[in-house]
Amino acid sequence: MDSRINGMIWLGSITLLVLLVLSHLVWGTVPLPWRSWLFEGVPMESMHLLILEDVRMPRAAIAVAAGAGLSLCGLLLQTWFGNPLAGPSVLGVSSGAGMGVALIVLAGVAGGWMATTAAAVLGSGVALVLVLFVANRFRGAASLLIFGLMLNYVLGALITVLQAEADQAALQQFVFWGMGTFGQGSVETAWALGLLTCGAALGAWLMRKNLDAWTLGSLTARSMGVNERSFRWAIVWMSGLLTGGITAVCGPVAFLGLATPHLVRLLTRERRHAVLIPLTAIAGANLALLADWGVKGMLGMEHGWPLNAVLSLIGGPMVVWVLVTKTRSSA
Amino acid sequence: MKANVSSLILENLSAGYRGRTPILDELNHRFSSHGLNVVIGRNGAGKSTLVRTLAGLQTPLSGEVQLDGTTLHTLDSSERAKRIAFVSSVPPRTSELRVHEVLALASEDEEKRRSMLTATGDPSWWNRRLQELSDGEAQRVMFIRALLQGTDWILLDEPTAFLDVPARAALWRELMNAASKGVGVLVATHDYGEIQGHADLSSIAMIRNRKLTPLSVEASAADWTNALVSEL
Repeated sequence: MDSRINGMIWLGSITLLVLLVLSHLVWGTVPLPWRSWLFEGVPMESMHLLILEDVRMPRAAIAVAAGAGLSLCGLLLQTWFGNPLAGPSVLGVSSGAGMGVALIVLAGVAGGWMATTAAAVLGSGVALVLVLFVANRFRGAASLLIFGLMLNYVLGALITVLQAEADQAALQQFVFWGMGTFGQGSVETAWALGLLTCGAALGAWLMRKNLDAWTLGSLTARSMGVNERSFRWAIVWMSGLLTGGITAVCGPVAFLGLATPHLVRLLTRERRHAVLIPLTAIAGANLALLADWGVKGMLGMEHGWPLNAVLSLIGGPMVVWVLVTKTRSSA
Repeated sequence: MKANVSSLILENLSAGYRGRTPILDELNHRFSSHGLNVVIGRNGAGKSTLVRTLAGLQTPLSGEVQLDGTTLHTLDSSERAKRIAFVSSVPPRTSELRVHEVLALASEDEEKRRSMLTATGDPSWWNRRLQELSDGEAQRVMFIRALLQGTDWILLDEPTAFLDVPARAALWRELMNAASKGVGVLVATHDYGEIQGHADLSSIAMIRNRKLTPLSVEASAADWTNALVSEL
């Protein structure tokens, strides 16, 4: 019974992924002559090909990579901390990346997308190391989340100071970056994020047994042969690179990392990471693509909404719902 | 019956947290892996520290633990997991894995997993989630998992601390059973009323004032309690 449901979930989420990617390639602000291309064999004009290859394809690819990557990151952090509310944006990891970007964009420490990305990766890595350091000091789920919250406040305050000092153009660039978007990347950044997420997914899948063992508690997992030090560094590296890389390109994307693993756990009764990892990645990609329809402005809206507004409007209630159902079932 | 007897030897072992007074100070002791070894001590005496250090999960402050001639803390984690298994005092309450999935982490042999669950637990647990079991059942699953690791030693840190009376009795029965089959079982516990006069009890020692002192296995639980509280 379970395996049949799982088969349907797999089939459904992969079909949805294909359909969503196609929909993003087919529809957009500029109508492309699909009908004549498909039925009359008329080749597309170079301008139309340019829109397809340089705008829509990278945007869809970035949404897929960012959605999958952040969701994987959320799953890894939730398992590592044994805390259902962990996630890159909750623990201050996204803010760390944001701080890195702020230093580049607002304070003008250096320039170029390479510097921005490096700064974001470094920022998220430093934030995560801080969180891990604290997690080792106080055990307890609540103190960790409160620390993440405080880290968010402190970094947010520093960013505000930088904003107050910045010039008009830099400030505008930073504010738009902060709203989040999948649409600002190039073909190259799409490739880079794609490879990053694939690498991280593979890395996570190789650690699937360690992740399963970790749910039994760190002492038990270690006694079963998990090397805590290398496991921890793998989590830091993967989460830092994923969050940093994705945040540099897409801005601090809210909720995806936290919410997707819960959605997957709600849909499937499987809890082995061998299944959770691929399903979470696909579901994250689907959620990102869905949210991007909100951003592009579907249903004839004049303008779309900022990505983080869309994600928070979906993600916020979803997390509350998860909390309510979770506490009800455990009570 | 396992043919070889394994030994855990403590050589001038000091353990605890770096930068603080050692909880255990220069211990010299030898545990042999036949029968049941029990360590008793009052709250905060250092039972957990001892078991974690002997399980290789905590690095000694000084001195060392010899496992059949190898210094324990030079083994890497996967090598160590083949020689020593560990059960903590708190059964995992948040893991949503199913019992058979937990057991699969310890052994790839499905037949062995099923027969071990049937012999030492209850076959009806196979497909249940760890979360859905009672504390006592979950703790027994953790013990079966430790048995499946196939090690010479299983170390348990107050395994019955959170269990009710019937669940304690059931876990002790399984511990004795494993000990009588030649697995070296070392238990730190408060719950020593259960073991007095038991044939498979091969050693009992108490932690007091940072030292480990052997007690008589022939004595009664009341004698052991007296040893814990008497004036030095």
